[in-house]
Amino acid sequence: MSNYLRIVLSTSAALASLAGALLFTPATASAGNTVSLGHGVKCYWVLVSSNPATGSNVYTQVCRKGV
Amino acid sequence: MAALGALASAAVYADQTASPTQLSTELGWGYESQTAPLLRLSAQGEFISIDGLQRLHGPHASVGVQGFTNWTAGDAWNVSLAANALVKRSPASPDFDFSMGAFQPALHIPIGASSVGWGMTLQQINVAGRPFRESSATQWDWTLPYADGSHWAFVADWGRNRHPQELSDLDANTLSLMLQRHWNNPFRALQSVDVALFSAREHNAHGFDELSHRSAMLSASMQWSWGSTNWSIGANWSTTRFDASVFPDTPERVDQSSGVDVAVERALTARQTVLLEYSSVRNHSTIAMFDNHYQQVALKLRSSW
Repeated sequence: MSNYLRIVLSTSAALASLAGALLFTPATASAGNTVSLGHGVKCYWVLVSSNPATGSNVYTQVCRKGV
Repeated sequence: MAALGALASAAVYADQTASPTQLSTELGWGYESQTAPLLRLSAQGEFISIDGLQRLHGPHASVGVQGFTNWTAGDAWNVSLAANALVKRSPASPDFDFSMGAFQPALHIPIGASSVGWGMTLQQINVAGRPFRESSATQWDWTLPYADGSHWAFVADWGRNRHPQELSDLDANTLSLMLQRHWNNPFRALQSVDVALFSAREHNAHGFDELSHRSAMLSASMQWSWGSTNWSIGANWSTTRFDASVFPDTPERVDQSSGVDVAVERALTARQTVLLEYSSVRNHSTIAMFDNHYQQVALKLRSSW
């Protein structure tokens, strides 16, 4: 058994949140123009429009939850 | 309007043409709770299940900042830099203390009607007041936008997670694939609908098969306006199958998780909004010790600069 599991179980209350960050998919709502980047949320910026003539770009932020 | 209109998991950063550099901050206050089975480690090293639940809960305050800038290099290359940081403190339950910082450079090039990009993510996470994880990852993405603001997006992400010595058992290499469909104004009453499929593989770097797993997730969300407020609701379902049992005499560990997010946002000024959100995730595992229910309610003040 890994030491990690022993740590979690022997001090289970203290590290419950840590276990949550790892093994589960805690919710952190993403909303608005700034995404709440917390446990299990990862975001990427992708390009959806580009105009070389004007140098103007439009990006979209794509986020997902998961470990 | 972009800030008001983006209440889904895919937030549209629609004002880039007007302002290629943006900075936003977030102040939050909330309450979170996590319950799990009550367990103890006996003197003989055996794990004992005790009737009842352990509950970790308490209020918290948070501060976040996010910046993004981009520019065009040459005829077609588009360079972007994103950075964000979040600090959350929970004085009554320090185990909920959480902080992170991330830096994401990326390069994109239009190809026909779509675009292809390559980027990196460097991230540091602290949990319960201690350094927890350093992760580095590289991503490839492909995006196909439509004239009405809808799009397809695909992201492949390869990464490695490293931890402090006492948690180094968790070191892992990761691979994830995500396909997202975003519909803009799909119906008269809806601003947007998002559906995403996500698949991941995490392989423990030290050969602990009980920490290696495969997972799949489906998420869906939609947003709409009602009066002067914007609303969103999202749901997600996931399953995670681990490579090996935790203990020799226990069944294969498979986790089933489901969650829901609800949020309502209202503009205070042209640059400030207030957001109230609720999140809940319930995890059921074939190993009872991993059953878990996490809930959070938070009030956030967001400002763009």
